[in-house]
Amino acid sequence: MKKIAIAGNPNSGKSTIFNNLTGENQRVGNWPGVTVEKFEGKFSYKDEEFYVVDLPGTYGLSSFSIDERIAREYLIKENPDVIVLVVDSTNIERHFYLLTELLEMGKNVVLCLNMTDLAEEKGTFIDENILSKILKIGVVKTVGNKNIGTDKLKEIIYETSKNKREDFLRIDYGKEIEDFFENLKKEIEIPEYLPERWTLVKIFSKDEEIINLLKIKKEIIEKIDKISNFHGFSDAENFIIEKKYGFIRGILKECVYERKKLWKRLEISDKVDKVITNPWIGLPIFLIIMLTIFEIIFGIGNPLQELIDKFISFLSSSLNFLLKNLFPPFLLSFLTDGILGGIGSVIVFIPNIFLLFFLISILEDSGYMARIAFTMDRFMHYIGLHGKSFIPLILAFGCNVPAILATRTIESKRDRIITVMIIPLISCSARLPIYILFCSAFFKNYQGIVVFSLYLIGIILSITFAKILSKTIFRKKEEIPLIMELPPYRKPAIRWCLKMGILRTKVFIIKAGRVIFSASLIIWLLASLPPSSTYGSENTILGKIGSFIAPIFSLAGFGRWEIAVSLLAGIVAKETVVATLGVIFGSENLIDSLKNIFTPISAYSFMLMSLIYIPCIATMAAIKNEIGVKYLLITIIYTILLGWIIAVIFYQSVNLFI
Amino acid sequence: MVLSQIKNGKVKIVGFLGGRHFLRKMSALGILIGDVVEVIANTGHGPVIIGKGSLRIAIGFGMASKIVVEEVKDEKNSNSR
Repeated sequence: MKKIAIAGNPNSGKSTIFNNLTGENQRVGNWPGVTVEKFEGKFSYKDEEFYVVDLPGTYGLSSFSIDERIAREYLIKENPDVIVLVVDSTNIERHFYLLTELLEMGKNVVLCLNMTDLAEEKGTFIDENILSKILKIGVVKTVGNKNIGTDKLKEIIYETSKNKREDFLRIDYGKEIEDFFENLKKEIEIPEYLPERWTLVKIFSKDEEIINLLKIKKEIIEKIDKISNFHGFSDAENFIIEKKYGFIRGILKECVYERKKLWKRLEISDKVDKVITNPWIGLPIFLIIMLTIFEIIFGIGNPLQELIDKFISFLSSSLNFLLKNLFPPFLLSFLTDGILGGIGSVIVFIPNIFLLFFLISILEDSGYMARIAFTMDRFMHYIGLHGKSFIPLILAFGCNVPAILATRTIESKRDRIITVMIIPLISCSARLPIYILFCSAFFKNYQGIVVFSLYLIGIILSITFAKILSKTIFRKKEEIPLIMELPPYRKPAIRWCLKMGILRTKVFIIKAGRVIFSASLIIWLLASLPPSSTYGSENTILGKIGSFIAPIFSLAGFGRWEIAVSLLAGIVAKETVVATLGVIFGSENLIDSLKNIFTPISAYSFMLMSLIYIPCIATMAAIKNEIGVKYLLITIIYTILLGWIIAVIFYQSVNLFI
Repeated sequence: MVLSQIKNGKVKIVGFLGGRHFLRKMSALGILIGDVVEVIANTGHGPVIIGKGSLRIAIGFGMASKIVVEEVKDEKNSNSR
């Protein structure tokens, strides 16, 4: 089997080419050690089978960003048989930069001139035969979203895979640099697996990874600086970049013809951008779009969620009824509450998560996603984040889990971690039943205001924490400039979006499902052992843990084991707090029992605790998936502490004044 | 003049005042010193969107004030399209 890697800039349409090549034959995973999605697939052509990897979209192969490091590590270590470079034909000059890097590596490249229909519509014609002759590589024209040129591409991949490329591209960097290369070759030893020419160029560009790897001496760096400074470049890499673009422009002169045509699509796109960058119009439009997404996810998702919930409890009660006489009660409870409940708590998330991923794909594909970062940028900068963090925070009001998954659209790792860590402070819809229960018991006439105040406190806390985190542990070393390519708007390809939604949902369910399921089982076990005791009672392990930790909560006004147990059970899912209280006190006179235990003040302090303390298991699983165990532990600890501190401060200070 | 002051029309990029990352990002996107670009949108306090060929790049306002430009007499010299 031959190995193929697909490379290309972001927005070059490489994922569509990947889809066209592999069809249904693909799966998603992660690149080792990072949460960047890795798409793999297979196809066969004639007598050969091909394994295809879609590399992350990159502009070059430097060591600056995670994406570029992943791509280049794969190219060097795995050394694929053929690399398909997908370029946007409407923007060929910029996209050819990556080509020069690949050819300097001496890679077996097939050049895929994508979106040629758009280019021709705009008046840009490329002669692929001349290009192929100059560069000595296979060149194919394709229109990815219409699946044009796929067979030709397969044919050329097949042919290219038969013979290895012998030579590598030598751009003439001028006498001084070439002399420098010659001397350098004598001084250092370049390991076998690193392509020589490419490595030399990288050393001159002062690529940190390569310089550290080969232990390049200070004197050599100084020499590099001297050469580039002499030519008026403050940075050596820019000297190289300039030379590369010179080379590219030379080639393009030979094979690209421009004819003036109407740039209709671009004109419309520009007009829309003129309007959207105006904050007075752009912001409301953005909010309306966010609101629509929110409505779709939770308006369609939540009823479906309830349906699944009902179905699970129907299954569980019918199982209970059918097997009542066959199984001992403990085993029966294990089957229904434990196993079935555990599975239920996983699949209940499918509708919301699928809708989220589907809608995000639409935003990405239509080109609007790139604009969002700018619309909210000013405000988010104030709390030390990027405009893109705004979407997850809004989604968090519905459910924290999809919100955490939505942080994947944030490129900066630092911003992603901060955003994930503050999401649990936003009050999700599962916390509402707790507020409703306590409000109907204690704040009958002020329900609206009380619930609103809790949401507001969540927002204020999350903003405060974002600010604190970005000023302390996550201090920026250098401000990352906000510069982004804006793809022209286009009609999103619904089929592709559906496919992305399904694929990403599948990955989440498989990965997070295990955590959610096993954690639900553990809580169930704690709440029902020893077998003779009733679920969640004082004699169970959970009850004992509850009695043990209850005194901690007495400072906050609710130091009783029942309450501690309900908070512990709430770790499964926040709405379980209400259910557990119902089990312990009996659902009929729950409100009266609560009135005996709580005062309005301690009730509010309990609601504060419920708002802030650890997110539910599903949220924890999502946090672990996205940013790792370390930050999950930090989040768990800080939310518990913060919840307790705020509840105590509230309870004590109000009691002091009244 | 810097880019953030330009409301519309074509300008030639004369220099970048930013750090290494900034320079790299601009050249990775295909914007080099000497290029003629068109200002597509600039509201005066938001991002500035520039165009070069069919390429559209949005630049945060802070960054846009670090790009030194000079005006271009239209017609000739405009290899932007």
